[in-house]
Amino acid sequence: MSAGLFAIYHFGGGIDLYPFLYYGLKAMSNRGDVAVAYVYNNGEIRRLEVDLSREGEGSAPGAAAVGCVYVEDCCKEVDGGVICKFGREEPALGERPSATAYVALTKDGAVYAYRPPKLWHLAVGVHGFDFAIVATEAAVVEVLGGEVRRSILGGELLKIHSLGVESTGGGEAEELCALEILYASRLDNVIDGVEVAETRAKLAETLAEKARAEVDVIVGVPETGMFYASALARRLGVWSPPAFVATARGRSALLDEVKERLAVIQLKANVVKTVVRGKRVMLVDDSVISGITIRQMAQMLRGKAGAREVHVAVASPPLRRSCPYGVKTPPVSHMIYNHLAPREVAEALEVDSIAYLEAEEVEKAVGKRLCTLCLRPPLDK
Amino acid sequence: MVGDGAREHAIAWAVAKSGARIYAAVGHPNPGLVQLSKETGGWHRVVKTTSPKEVVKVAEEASPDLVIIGPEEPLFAGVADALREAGFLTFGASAKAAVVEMRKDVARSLQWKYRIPGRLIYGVFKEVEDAYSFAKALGSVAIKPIRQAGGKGVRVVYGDAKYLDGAFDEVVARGAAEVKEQLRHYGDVEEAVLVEEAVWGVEYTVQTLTDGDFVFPLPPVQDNPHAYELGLGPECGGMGSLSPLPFIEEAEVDEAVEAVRATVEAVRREFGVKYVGALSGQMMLTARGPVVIEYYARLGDPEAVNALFLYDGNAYDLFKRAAEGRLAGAERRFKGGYTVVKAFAPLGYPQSRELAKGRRFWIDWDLAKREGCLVFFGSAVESPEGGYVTLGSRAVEVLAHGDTPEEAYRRVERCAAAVRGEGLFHRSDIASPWYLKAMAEKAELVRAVYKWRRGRGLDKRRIVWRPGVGVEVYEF
Repeated sequence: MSAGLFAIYHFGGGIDLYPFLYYGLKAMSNRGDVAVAYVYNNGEIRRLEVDLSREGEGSAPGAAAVGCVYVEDCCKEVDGGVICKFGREEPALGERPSATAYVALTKDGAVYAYRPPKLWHLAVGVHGFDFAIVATEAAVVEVLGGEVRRSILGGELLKIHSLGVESTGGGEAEELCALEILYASRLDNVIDGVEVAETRAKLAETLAEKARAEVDVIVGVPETGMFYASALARRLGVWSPPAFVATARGRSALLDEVKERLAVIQLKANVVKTVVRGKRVMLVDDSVISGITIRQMAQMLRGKAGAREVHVAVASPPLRRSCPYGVKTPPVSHMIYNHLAPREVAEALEVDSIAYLEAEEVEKAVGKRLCTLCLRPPLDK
Repeated sequence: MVGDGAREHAIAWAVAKSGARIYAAVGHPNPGLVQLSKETGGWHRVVKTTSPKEVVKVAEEASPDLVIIGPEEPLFAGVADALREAGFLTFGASAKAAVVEMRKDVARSLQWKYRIPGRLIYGVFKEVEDAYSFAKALGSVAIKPIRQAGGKGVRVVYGDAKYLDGAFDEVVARGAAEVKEQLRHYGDVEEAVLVEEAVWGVEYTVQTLTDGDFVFPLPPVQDNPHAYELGLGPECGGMGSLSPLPFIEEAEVDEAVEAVRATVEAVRREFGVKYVGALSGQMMLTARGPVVIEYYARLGDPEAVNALFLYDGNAYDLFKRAAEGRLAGAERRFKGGYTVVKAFAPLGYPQSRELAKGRRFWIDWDLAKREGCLVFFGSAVESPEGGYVTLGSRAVEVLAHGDTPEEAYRRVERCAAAVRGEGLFHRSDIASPWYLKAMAEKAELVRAVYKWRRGRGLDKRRIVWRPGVGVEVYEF
């Protein structure tokens, strides 16, 4: 997934921007836990590391700020200011790279927000007459009490300063990153006028055609899998109760180390046994990379909770390649479908069956062209 | 014609079309008014338009059949009263009546006293701390100067999110302090702050002409108060407008007209004066139904430009009937289709007048003509070196007409290229297809809620609970 980029501009001059930075970045903690911000105040730019686990403990006097949430720091000081970006290119402030999104703060306190023609998303919103807000997740604007105006267009550059807002360039965004829609985005993100939840419901409809196993109950892997499970269950007419109780929230795919991943799975999902005991269960997840999560969950469902059958439905194609545009993925050697034939995967993961969507099916359900490079078999296979 | 903005240019254009000869009393030689007066055989005089004495002097020189006052400040200063006293047939509210715009606190109290529909909960405070405490109790608030200040000094904070409690404190407190500062500058009212509940929804303006008995509504218009592209940035005089409005229902317009009518009546009962002039309701369609955000004792700017273009009767006759008390017989005829107006402002507007002043620009008249757009001048004068030069506020307004909002939008955006020069900006988002879609969606959302509320009688009573202070019950 891509980084969560954030920018805020206060037209009324310097105030304490900290609460806005904190909640703005926190609202994108689905994208990582390293949160960094830069704040402009009276001719100076100050760096701020935001600890997302500690509420309300900081101050950030200033009139404008940019920031980023990801698995690593994605802001840096450049000629003329600071840039927080996602993508491999190294654009100068005000430039328009082909596959890199950025928010930037200039030395004189102006904010740039740029969405490339493809892959990544940014939305712009407003709070009263005072604030302009830009974020990867449109919902950030709402979290800050504001109103979303629209998605920034593909290739559009916004410059926000005290004397105006200039929009240059831009057209219909093409080839969004499939992972953004499939699982990186918040369910309530709105991309180019379409809520992600609406798109995921369509994906679940398509998945319903493929997951043919007869089951008694459909359960989702927290958290992204749960919406897919519920949409799938609606289509198949099967009960879909919450079946896991989380102790800690965290995105297992973000962690490289298998051991760490296992710990996270246990922390994020303890089974509610009643709802699966003696039943034929369909387990729904948003992705399959190494398969470790699925194997672990399936074992818990069967071994600890007494599920009779465990069928798996995945709302995306398996991850097969690393991303040329900069999305952090586990190494290719960790991707199970690169090592086993599809029918062997079910065996390796010890599940009764496994169904997933093909890249073409995803594109068809979403209704527009997506970048699905990482979901395609490696070239040498 | 008294006044020198694009609104006055548009009024003069409309009455000149009906055969009137224009004499203009202007604060600066608005190129549009200068030309119109010349073309129709009249002339213009540069005066202080808020000085009753100076304006009466111009009227005496011109001896007109009708005086129309465009802007609000001359009304506040009693220019309409002075003209009437001197025996001129005048369209424009008396100072007593224009108070509904000048004093937002008076307007709100009038609304409550006379049960005028579209009310909001409000309080008036001299101390910033008190304003702040009341704002806290209301949650989402709008902070305004009690006096009309050209749309400046208004702050809106949506404080529903409790975790952001405190985050907006500074915005609210500073807003209240700035409001007081603003009022000190005018020096004609006490320095007090109006705090009222902030509402969310779709704005629309219902402009009317009235002779004190009969109210003549013009088609509804939507203005856009944010200065910058995408509806971002500070509040200003308005950057563009659309009319009529595909996303507002007829009954919602009727409610606004009803509010204006009730206000005309309230002014008569409270102040003992007939309201003769323009009275507009700047409305918002909210989850509580249509509410009055504020009144204009005039036509809106740029809203007047849309409405006067759409009026298809004899505009001179319309204004004259209003001034004479014979408005009931005015011709009600409007053009079909849609109009979009875009304002062009110099960079610096509205934050820094100094920066916004002195920018040169040109109009490509051939392009405007080819596309069928109309150009109205505002805060600009002819430059001795050719072209025009800005004075600091909105310099020109361009109108386009089309069968659909989209056609009008495309045309006005093509015409935007006719305004040439350094450092002029306009908002390209206003009336664009995505904008219209967003407005329609927003209107549908709030409409469903207010209709639901009304269906259950929830629009009749509101309780405001201030912990530690007590309970206030508002009957609507």
